[in-house]
Amino acid sequence: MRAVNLIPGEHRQGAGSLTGRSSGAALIVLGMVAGLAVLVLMYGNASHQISSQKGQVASLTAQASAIQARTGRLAPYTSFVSMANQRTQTVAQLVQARFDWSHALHELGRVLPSGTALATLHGTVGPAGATASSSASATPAAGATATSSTPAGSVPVFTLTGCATSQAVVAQALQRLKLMDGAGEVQLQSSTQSAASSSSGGGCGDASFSAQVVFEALPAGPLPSVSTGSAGSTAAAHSGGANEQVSAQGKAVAR
Amino acid sequence: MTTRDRLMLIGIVVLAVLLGMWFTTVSPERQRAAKVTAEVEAARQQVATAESEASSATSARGQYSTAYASLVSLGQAVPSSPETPALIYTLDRATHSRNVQFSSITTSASGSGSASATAATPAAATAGFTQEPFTFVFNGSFVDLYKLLDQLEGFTLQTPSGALHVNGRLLTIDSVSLAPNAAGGQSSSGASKAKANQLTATITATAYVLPSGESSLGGATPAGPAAAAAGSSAVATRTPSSGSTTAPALIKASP
Repeated sequence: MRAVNLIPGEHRQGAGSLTGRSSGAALIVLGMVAGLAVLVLMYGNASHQISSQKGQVASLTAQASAIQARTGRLAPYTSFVSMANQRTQTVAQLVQARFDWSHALHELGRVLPSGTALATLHGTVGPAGATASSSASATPAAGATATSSTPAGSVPVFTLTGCATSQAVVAQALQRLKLMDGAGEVQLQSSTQSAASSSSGGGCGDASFSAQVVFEALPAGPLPSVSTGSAGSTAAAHSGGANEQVSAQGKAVAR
Repeated sequence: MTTRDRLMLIGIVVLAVLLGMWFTTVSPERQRAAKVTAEVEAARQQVATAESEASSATSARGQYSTAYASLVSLGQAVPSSPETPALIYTLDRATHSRNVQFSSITTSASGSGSASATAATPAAATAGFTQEPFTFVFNGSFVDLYKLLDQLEGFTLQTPSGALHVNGRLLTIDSVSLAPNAAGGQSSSGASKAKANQLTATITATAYVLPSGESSLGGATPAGPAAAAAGSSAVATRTPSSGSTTAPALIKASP
């Protein structure tokens, strides 16, 4: 005998579920519609973004072009100012790389003891490690990275010949030469007690000597920040007499 | 095929359709949108860069007069041509302010003339400027000579504040030789003691000139740089002599 379910179909267990009578087909359709809606929404959003941003790109590109054109018209000013700055820096580096000869000679006159006289003095600024010969002149450093003829690291050397009243005074002179500002090393090359006095050096004494003063190497100065503020020289240049405007006004500032 | 199987099949088909739409339509559109967004960012950066350059160019235009004055001033220190006559005149003026006799000047470039040709290296172009070696011979007392050295280096110097003061040629002294004057001093002072103290100073120094083909101001005028001035008829009428870029700048500076 076959069992018959007398409960109406809509009241049977599970009939009120989500699938319902369609057994889930409705859910699939709903899901498909929802998925399609999401995809369309995303597509539309992306398309809108593209169209609006393409306009933005065109606008920004045009703006950049306009600014670049304006900048291009001012490019000569930029390159001119850049050239001025570069040249000023180079000149300042050259100025800083110089050895202060005047100060060194002043120091020499200050430290030499009485009873000593110099016959000759030869000062050079040469590459480090080179010893100055009595007749060699300084050679501008070829191929140096700096443009200076006395680049950083060059060593100033004074070669002195002279005479003193005695060997003791020569010794004192050597000690005193070390007191020179910037003097690193003082080397005696010779000191000869001559038989006949007043043979050289103006007749200062019996002992003639030769010595070498090696100064500290020229420092590698930092790249300065420089302003050329010579209003006077600028005005002179405008008046057409630039090269004739030599005055001592700068000296007071220098040292 | 049961209903359940049919539903599963339909679900798989729907999912495949949705995925297909995603990969064929929506995802490429989104990628295009991302690309356009990147283009917008790049365009924004381009605008920012252009604005920055325009700002610096505008600033350069504001600094033009200062830079022009600086270059005119530096034209005295480092001219575009050797300008040896001006240097001789400058040295002569400097010695007149001291009790020093300007005996001779020798250039290695010319090679002819003075017999007292001390070894000076040929003009060597270095990184920035071209070196012009000279040898000067002066006669005077020790004090006057070292003060003269101070004056020579003081033509172009840097103040403690960092500003460059330009009153003449930039000179780097490479070597100094002091020796008793054989003639006992050629000045007409007449004092025998002063004559006995006379020294002969042989100074090798390096002056600098701009590299060949480069002018002091690059054709600029007080009104504007070369290219800007060329495009302005007003500037052209004010500076009718601004055609040559290799002409000495100091001449061009005085309209």
